[in-house]
Amino acid sequence: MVLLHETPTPKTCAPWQPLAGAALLDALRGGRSSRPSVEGAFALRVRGELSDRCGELLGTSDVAPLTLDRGTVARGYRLSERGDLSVELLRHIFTSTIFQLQVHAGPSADAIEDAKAVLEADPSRRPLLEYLATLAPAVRRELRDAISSDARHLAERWPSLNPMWLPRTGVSMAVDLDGGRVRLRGTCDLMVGIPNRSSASVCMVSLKTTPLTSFHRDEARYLALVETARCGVPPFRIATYSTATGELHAEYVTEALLKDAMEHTLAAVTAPAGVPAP
Amino acid sequence: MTTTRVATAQLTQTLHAERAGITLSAPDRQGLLGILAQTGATGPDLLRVDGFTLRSGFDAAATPFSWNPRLAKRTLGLAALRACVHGEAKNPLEACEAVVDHAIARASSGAERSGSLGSWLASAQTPVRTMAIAYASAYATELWSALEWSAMAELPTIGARDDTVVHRPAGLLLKGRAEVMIHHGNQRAFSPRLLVLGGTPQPEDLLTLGAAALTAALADRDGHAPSVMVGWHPAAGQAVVLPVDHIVLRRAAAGIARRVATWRSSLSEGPVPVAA
Repeated sequence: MVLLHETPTPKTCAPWQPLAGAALLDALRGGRSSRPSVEGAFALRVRGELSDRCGELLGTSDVAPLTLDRGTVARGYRLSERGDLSVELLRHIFTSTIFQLQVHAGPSADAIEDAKAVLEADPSRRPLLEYLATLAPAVRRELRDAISSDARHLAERWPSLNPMWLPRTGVSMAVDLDGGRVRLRGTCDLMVGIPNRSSASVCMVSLKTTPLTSFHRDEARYLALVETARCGVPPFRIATYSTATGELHAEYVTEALLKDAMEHTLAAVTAPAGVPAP
Repeated sequence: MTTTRVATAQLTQTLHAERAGITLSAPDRQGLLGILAQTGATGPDLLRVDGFTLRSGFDAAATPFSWNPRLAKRTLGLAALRACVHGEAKNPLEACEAVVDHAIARASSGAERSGSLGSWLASAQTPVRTMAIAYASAYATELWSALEWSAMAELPTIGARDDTVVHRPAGLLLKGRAEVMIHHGNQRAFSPRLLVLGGTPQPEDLLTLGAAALTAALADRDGHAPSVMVGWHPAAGQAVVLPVDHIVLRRAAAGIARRVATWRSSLSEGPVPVAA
């Protein structure tokens, strides 16, 4: 397992600077010569093995279908508490929207207003905007400052992506296991590379608006597992980028990583609702 | 009548597999229309029956339609895919941008009617258009990379017009769609069809695919039915395969009739009282 953790290191004397532009792109790609591979037969078995083991764990018990997502699996909770409206969620959704727009059209001088226009055009976002309207002026100012900072950092640091690399944002994934008793779902903020190929060629990127933690690494690994179960081919690389700090966690997807993600996921299947897994 | 599931990697092979297609005789056709007519029209208005209303309920069709980036992705994405497959664009993103530019130009010249996708795009703010391109290019990329286009001897039909059947005695407007129709050899009349579906494979896919096959067969002048319907769920990386025969079409007709009858009877009964 290779883990590139692009964070301040005490070994260097120069002040740490977040990666930007070509350097960030290089870190997302990883070194071309050292790219590990996952055995094809293993990747093809992932969905079946996950399904079989879910069946063993749940037995014949008549439980309601479980839906797991990256947050629940990374934190060992069976049920998601995400979805509750919060200032943090608002910031994440605004910043994700700004990111999506930047990937497809480059940075904008008025990123927040652009994102708001997009959210206003989407009926499913109405509750979110209604919640925004209820916030106290001071909270709204603070939120606006945070999103402005995210947008500025993205504009300054995030590289432009060649359309030939097939960048796509907000990619939904959903895999049913054990006859539909367990559903793994997730959304990847950015995928780059040709999907549905026989060899690993996709890089998956998750965007965060908080400093990175080990939970975020586990979330990215969970998404790699779902993508492998979905396509029968793993992504070659996963990355998590923080707009708050400029940190980047990037790692190659290996068999060991997928097995680790599988164990985390299976632990979440048996965790009591709303209680952290042991 | 059985369905099978295949992975995305097997889509092309599945669509190209040799299958015998069926042709509706006049009595076959009358029999299917008779099953649909069991519901009986309740007035002059036609009830729209398509994949959307079968999945979301007939009440959903009553909601006024208005475009947004998510709803625009299929139309834009299929137009972009067509450009990629026909060699007119290098990648889905650039193809989507060209499709949107073209639609806006048409709307600006007055060639688009009010309420059309083109006129919505022309009036939408730039970031909203960008998001429409983002959704559409992701849609087109998934479909573009799911099929081996170079393995197809003939160019497929991408995003053809919906099949339409008006059935006055039943008060129904049947609409059937297919994202891709594959043409090969002497099976052209029975072209396999690929439908892109959301979420994960569900038992309801059987009715969705069967209804689309039924509509195609009833709409075809010669009564040819697609040899196979494939419902691909990109989010799940799986497809449901339904070979079409007379039993599939009869069950689809009966399934539609049942849904319509249930819905119409719920309207006539009014709200169901809730027990205390």
